[in-house]
Amino acid sequence: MEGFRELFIAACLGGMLSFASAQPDWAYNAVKQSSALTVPKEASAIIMHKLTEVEISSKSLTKIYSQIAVKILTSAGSSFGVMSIPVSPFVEVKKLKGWIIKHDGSAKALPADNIVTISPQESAGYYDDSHIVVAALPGVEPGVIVAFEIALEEKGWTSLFNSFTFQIQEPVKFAQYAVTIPQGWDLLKGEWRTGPVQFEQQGNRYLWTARDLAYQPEEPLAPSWDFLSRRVSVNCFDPSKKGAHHFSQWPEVAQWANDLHRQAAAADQQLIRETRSRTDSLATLQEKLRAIAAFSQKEIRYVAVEIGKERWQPRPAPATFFNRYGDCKDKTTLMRAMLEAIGINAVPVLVNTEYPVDPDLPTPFQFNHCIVGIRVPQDSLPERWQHARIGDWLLFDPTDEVAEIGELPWPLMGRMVLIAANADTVLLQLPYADPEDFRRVYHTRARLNDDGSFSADVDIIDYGSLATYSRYSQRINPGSKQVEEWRSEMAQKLPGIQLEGFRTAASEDSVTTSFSIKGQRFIQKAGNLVLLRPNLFYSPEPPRLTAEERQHPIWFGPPIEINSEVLWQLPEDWTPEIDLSEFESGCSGALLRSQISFSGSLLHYRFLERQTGRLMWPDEYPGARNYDKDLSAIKGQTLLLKTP
Amino acid sequence: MEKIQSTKLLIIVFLVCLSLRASAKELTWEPVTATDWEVNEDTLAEKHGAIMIIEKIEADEADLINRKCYVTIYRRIRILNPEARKWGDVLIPYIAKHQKIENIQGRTLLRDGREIPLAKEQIFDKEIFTAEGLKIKQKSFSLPGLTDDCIIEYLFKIRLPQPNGAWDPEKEIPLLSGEYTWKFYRGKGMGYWYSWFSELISPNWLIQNRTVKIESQELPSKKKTEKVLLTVRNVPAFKPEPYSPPENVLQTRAILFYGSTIDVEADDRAHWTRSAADIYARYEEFAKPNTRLAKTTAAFDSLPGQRSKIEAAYRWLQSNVKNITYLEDEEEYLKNTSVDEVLERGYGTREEINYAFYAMLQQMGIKSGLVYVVDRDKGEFIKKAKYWQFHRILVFEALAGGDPRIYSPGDLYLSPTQVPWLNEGTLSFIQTKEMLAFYTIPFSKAYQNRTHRSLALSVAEDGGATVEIREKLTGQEARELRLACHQLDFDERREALANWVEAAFPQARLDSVLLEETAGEPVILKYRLFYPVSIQQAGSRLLLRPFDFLSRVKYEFSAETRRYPFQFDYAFEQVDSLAIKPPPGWKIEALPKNVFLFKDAGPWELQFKETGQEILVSRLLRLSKPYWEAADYAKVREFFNIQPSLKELTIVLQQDNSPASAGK
Repeated sequence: MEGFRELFIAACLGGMLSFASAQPDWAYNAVKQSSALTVPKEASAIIMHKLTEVEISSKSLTKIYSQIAVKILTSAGSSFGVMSIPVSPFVEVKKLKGWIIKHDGSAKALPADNIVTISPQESAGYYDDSHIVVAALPGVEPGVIVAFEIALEEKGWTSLFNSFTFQIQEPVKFAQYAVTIPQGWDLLKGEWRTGPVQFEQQGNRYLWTARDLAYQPEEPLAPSWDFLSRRVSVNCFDPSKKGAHHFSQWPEVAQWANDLHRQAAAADQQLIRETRSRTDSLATLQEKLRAIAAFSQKEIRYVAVEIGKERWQPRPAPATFFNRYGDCKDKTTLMRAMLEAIGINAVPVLVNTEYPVDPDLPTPFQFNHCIVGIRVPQDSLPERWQHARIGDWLLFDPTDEVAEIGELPWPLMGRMVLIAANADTVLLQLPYADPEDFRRVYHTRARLNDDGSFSADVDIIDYGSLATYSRYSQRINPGSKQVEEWRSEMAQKLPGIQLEGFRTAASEDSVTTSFSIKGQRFIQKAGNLVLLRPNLFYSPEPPRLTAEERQHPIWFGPPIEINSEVLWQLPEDWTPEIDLSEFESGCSGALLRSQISFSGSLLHYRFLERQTGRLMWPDEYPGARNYDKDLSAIKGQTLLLKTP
Repeated sequence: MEKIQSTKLLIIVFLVCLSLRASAKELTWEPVTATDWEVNEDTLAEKHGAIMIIEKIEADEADLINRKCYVTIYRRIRILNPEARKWGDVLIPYIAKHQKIENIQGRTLLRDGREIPLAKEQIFDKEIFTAEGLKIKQKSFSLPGLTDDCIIEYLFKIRLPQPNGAWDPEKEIPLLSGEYTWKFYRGKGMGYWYSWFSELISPNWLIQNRTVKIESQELPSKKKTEKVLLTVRNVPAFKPEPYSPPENVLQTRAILFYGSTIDVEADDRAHWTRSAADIYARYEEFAKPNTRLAKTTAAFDSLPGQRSKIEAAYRWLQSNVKNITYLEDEEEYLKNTSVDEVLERGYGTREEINYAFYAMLQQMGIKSGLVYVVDRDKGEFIKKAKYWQFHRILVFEALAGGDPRIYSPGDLYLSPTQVPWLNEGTLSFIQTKEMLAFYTIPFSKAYQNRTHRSLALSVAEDGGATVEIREKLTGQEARELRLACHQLDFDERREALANWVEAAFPQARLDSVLLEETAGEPVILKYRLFYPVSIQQAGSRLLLRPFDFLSRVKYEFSAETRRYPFQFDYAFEQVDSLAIKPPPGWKIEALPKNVFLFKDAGPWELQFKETGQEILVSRLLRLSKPYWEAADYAKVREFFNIQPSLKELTIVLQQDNSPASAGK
């Protein structure tokens, strides 16, 4: 008996030990496969196995089970040894296990000590009830495989929306996403860049599978990784419960938002009085809108309380008015209440500031921001405000600190929005910015002395939305800081300069910044030659698009137009050799134009650079590459001067 | 019954009075005056949008014996512009179970007399970090009703298990009036024993006046002090600047601690003499038994000359004793209790290795001692602060009539007589069994920390260039690279080296990289890059600008003026020898002018020479010392700010129509 007992104890201990560290079969298979892999040298890791099974019940309780195994190739890939799981009162971790598996097959389990819970937000003015469970495997180094197994449970209607990312940058050997919904329910899907992903439907089970997704290289002038990632989102609903958090069409989402915001947007007597006291003396609709918009934007500081239902439901407008703080939906609701108090109809407008909204997936979870839609007759507003109009609605973002009424913040431009009005609600696209909306003109009169020193009077004039940003920057930055920023910027191109006489001026449609600069070393002397770079505002940069081939789209940047005009007074009898008096180059994403002329002792230089903001596809790469090369050459353009 | 009732009543009255008395001592709102409303920034050179009118802190450590110290903080802030309303959002982190936040109050005051209080439901409590055995929480609130012309104030009380320790009156915004009241521990709960131990737990305060002066007052009197009142007036805002010493070195602060009466009353030297004896006793305990030490040292002792003995011992320790301070799993090793265990087990911490080295020198009869140093990125050694401040222990060799030579075999990849750069320029405390002294460790010289690059650049007509580079690094430069590659396998090392190279050549594509390192010799780094060069066709000429990589600087200075001293890691020298081969079919027409700048910060030279079909460029950049006072800012700034202009330097090429070139 004793012998048996000892054997039994040893077996139990052995079992416990092996239970503690033995990796599951799927991880073991990943290890087996990894030995025969050819890996791209730039990759820091390979996703060997990534699986998520989502099971939604008719009680809106969702179980999410995930497995992931990653082979670490370089130390940069060690971050895969850390798993971060967002949790909240609706989302609970039911199981979390991890393993680190070495080349020899030995495995160590994730110790309990290596699991912590942190708050995603610790900054002042942000209150929420979310956390992140972080599990970090110890001893992660190149050559090992890290594996995690997670089971989550999500309660409530938020669980009807789910998403899965197949790939961001690293290569993926196998990834699968499966969603099972209750019988009789429907599923809508949104797929982003999922060309290589196979989809099949097996009754009420929806399955996406991807194999051997190639590494996505880092390339210059590429869109963000959010854009380049491959992902699927789903929205499930019970057709018999339309509305009531089961969304099958956009009008249902709009109705939900409208219902949620309606009560909070009711003004009490005090709010009505306060609003009227601020607007009664104003004659025009434009002035009243301006006053209310400015109040919501500037008098209500941004503080987000996103606890429980306050994640979606705004606070009552009178409370926001009293507190003088609120988040985007609170500010929107207050502004609506104030507008209603003077008889102007306004609604909440949902928007996503980070991701493109998939029009095939009607769900509130595609939005992360709320702004105001004001119904006003088209002809009642200035022409300049038309950029912020869509249909009958004038849009305004009271959370954005910069854009004034009649202007749209540029991160919202081109976005899809949902106007939460009662009828005929569809997704609409906001107008995309024109480069002329973001226009800057550099106007310079410069004098070059024969000892190489120079002086210049500079005016920088910003128009449109760029003027709005400049106005805001001048408002919040003291003069000394503005001077320092300009000096620092100019010093990057013209080391050792002195900046004096700084001043600013603003009109309704433009902001002008002026100053004088002086420097000792502007021209280059090379032997008997004198070299002058006529454009003070650029410095030579090598081209960025140098690779022969391209995988990702190309994006030169947001829409903007920059005009530089420099009038140089040269020393007497100095003449430039101008071999390129006019030059133009362009592609669908950008264009440039330069002109140089010389008369008397005056050298007149003009340069235009315009970015359209348009995304260019990889087949347009040769044109983009040529343009980039021309841009590099023109920005550093140098003239040879003949001296007596 | 009546008697009981009246007794009860008396007790109730007594308790009420007691509580009233207690609450009378709690901080309450102070009257807001017209002067407070008149506070503005009109006369200040730099605007912050807010001014702290009052900060009052009371640290009550009377109950220290029960691990209950109370700190009450009261602040009143004048808000002057919309951006300053962020001061109405307050965070108070605390460690759950060990600390407690009590009695949070707040209010906003408007010019029209209205007062908007902070409601209880507007105070949030959240866990921000939870791990095994540790929970950190945070109480936070946003004061309601703020406008861009108002006054806010808040107060709260925090209970700590240990004394607060310090007061930093310098804030992000100006402070008009600051008070810190320290009610120190005076024996509560110790009863009779306090008179025995009071000499060991005397309150002591050290005031570091830098920007402003903290006044101190002992209350009720100097003879019978029960508390200390520290006050400060008109404290300008603290604005951090890049490359500064740590904030605790720059800022005015009061350090409050308990020590022995002897220490409080003694001068600095007396305190450190006594401390030295205690510290040395620790070493002596570690240094015995030493049979293995004697055996190991015998091999070096027979070498001729003191220098060779020391270097042999030094290199032996670095090669034969694994330094576990640099390992992630240091705690997996058994703790050594003696020098013999270090030698027997073949591993030790930095401190243990240095103790072993010292013991070896002692064994060989070499006059030597221990050096206690601070790391200058963490603070400085303050003689008057009579408590242990040091971050590491080094070893010195005493030299007759000269400065000591300092060693640290316990710091990886240091050569003999080299000191970690963190300790260069710092005041240290050196001791032997018989003596002690204060000694400022000198900075290493620029030539000792040299990077010499030989570059060969071949440029194609489209601007693509291939660069072959050989870098030779010495001193601290070499050590930094060695540390970056420490304990990495082949792939990790390649990755670390690639990162090192890409920092200097951000737009280049690395083709190959190789590191050659031999103990005691300079480090050689060889690599090959594909690098885009700025090139412009101008008629029959080609304008080549290949110096973009030379324009990269490790340090950038944009501000016009400087308030605080600034420091770099160490003095250094960079020497570049660049050979440029222009594209085929082009010959050199003109080269940029040579540049010679001998500024106080150090020489800066750039020379161009044509040799046949190649251009030779040599550059010398030397930063003469790492530490500078604010008054020297302009010259050092100019020294670095000239760097970006290097990318403008242009080589002018002309088409080579000679028959010789046609044949190429």
